[in-house]
Amino acid sequence: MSVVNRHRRSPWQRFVTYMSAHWELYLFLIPGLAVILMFKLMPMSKIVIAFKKFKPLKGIAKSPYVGFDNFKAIFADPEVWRVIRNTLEINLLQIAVCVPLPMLMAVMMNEVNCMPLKKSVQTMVYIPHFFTWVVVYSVFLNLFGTSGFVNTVIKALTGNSVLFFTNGGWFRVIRVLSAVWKGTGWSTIVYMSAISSIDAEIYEASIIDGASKIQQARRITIPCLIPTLVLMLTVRMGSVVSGGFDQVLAFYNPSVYETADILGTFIYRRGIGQADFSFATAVGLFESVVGLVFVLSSNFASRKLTGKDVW
Amino acid sequence: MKLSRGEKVYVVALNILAVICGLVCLLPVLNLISKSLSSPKAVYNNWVIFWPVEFNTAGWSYIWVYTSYLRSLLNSVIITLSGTVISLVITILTSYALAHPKLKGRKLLTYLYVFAMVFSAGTLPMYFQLKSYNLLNTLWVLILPSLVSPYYTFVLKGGFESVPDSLEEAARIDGASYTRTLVSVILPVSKASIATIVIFTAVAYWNRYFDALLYITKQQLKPLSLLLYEVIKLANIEQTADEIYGQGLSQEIKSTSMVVMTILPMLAIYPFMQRYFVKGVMVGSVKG
Repeated sequence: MSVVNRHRRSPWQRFVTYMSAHWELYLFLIPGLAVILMFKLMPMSKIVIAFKKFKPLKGIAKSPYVGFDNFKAIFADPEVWRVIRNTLEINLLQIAVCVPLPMLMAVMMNEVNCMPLKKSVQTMVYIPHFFTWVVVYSVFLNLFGTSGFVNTVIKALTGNSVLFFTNGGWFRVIRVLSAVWKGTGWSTIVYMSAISSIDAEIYEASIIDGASKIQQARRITIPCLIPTLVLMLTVRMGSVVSGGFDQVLAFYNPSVYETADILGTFIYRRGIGQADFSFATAVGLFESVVGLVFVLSSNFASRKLTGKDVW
Repeated sequence: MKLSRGEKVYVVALNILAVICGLVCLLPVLNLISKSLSSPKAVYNNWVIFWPVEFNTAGWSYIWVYTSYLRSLLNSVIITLSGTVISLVITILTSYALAHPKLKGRKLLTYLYVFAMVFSAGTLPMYFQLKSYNLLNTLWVLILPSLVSPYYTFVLKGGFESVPDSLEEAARIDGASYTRTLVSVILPVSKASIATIVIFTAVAYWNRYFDALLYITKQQLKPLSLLLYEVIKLANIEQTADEIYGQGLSQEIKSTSMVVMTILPMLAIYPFMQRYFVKGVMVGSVKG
């Protein structure tokens, strides 16, 4: 009876029945959607600035359209190309160093079998993750600055000090080192959990076969961690364009703009510093689009390689 | 199990290496703390290593008196607490609904969140939008825009999806509403994923400084992270000039004091957080 009845109901009646049972689920979505609408989607309407010659006094609506002029200006500007190259170079270098290191560190921590020691080392290596980049900068300035510990040693050995923060090449080294210092310990957590899920029988079998600890690490632990490594790599590839902004803003100074600038900091200086709003918005849009391409391709790669979506 | 000599060397070497890694993370911070509590003379002469030399709290008093430290600390606490609580409520509600098979249009909504995650309007459009909401120079501007993190929404959604369906069905058959089911059945078994999100969200709110740099110009509204940025980055320009041997406070002491006073609240609650995050992060990492 009831089955027949359900089929006879109009779509509206079915909708009402469905909603009276499940309205709460839709209510739950409202706050999140409101925030997304107000702070993620609405700001996109302001991207129109990139296609205008924006004058703050006239406001956005009254500023004249200039079509793709701002984008033509971007691609004609050698500085932009330099910044794009910098962004990709530094971020790729950083990823190349920062992605494999936590895996090796996790393998190392795994061999520490004295529990109290392991716990205290873990406590220590996780701490830097919780520091804001400005704190990390202070730590590095204190170590690598002209009167810092490292330079005191270098001076004693060679007689000269190294300008780590004002020499473009050294600045990149500092940038990678600081990322390693801040993130490596924390990133081991993922690998530690992956190690703990490796089947103990594999190790037992290898011991019977006479495998040494080193062989176990090389032939069992590391191969078992490769899928996690690939996943982490693809996650990081998604931020190859936008990554490192807070870090560079905290670390850099005018003498290394040429080699340290990334798209984010460039947009900030041109847009807010020099009030070149339309140009900076156009660069920002370019950054978002290129970033989008990287995210989508890294997710595609992740799905192909590990069968998991990044999101 | 008997270890060969080579293996023993290997294990001992890794143990030592692990200790070195730990110290590399800890000692530079200890050095900063010691410097902030030493006399200007001792700092200038590089006498300070891991313990204050000629103990002196002048740097700390300077920050306490001459910067808006307390006000900024309070701002950061307000932003972090309210931001984390509101964000958590929104994220729980959204993830529960998105994880529920009865919700229609889940796929479309998920795409909307993915889009919000991977595409940003950019710095300047965001600035003008917030300006049009009249949010600049309010604490709200540091809370509202980052309330929803699609990424953590997906992490929590993954956590909810891993809860056995039978638990939820049992509650529903007993006549519990969705709200009731969520609060008394789903949440208690999802503590680990929730702990992850709380820690990540709180740390992000506490550490972020760029949004404040853009949106806040009133001194009394600046969060601690921005005050730190200003003391460290903007003061560095005028460094050395007033750094006369032994006289007054060097920039170095002012900076290190500011840094130490910023990380202190974090270090104080770190031991309490640690229990939760290791377990929680592992849960979060299942989904990537």
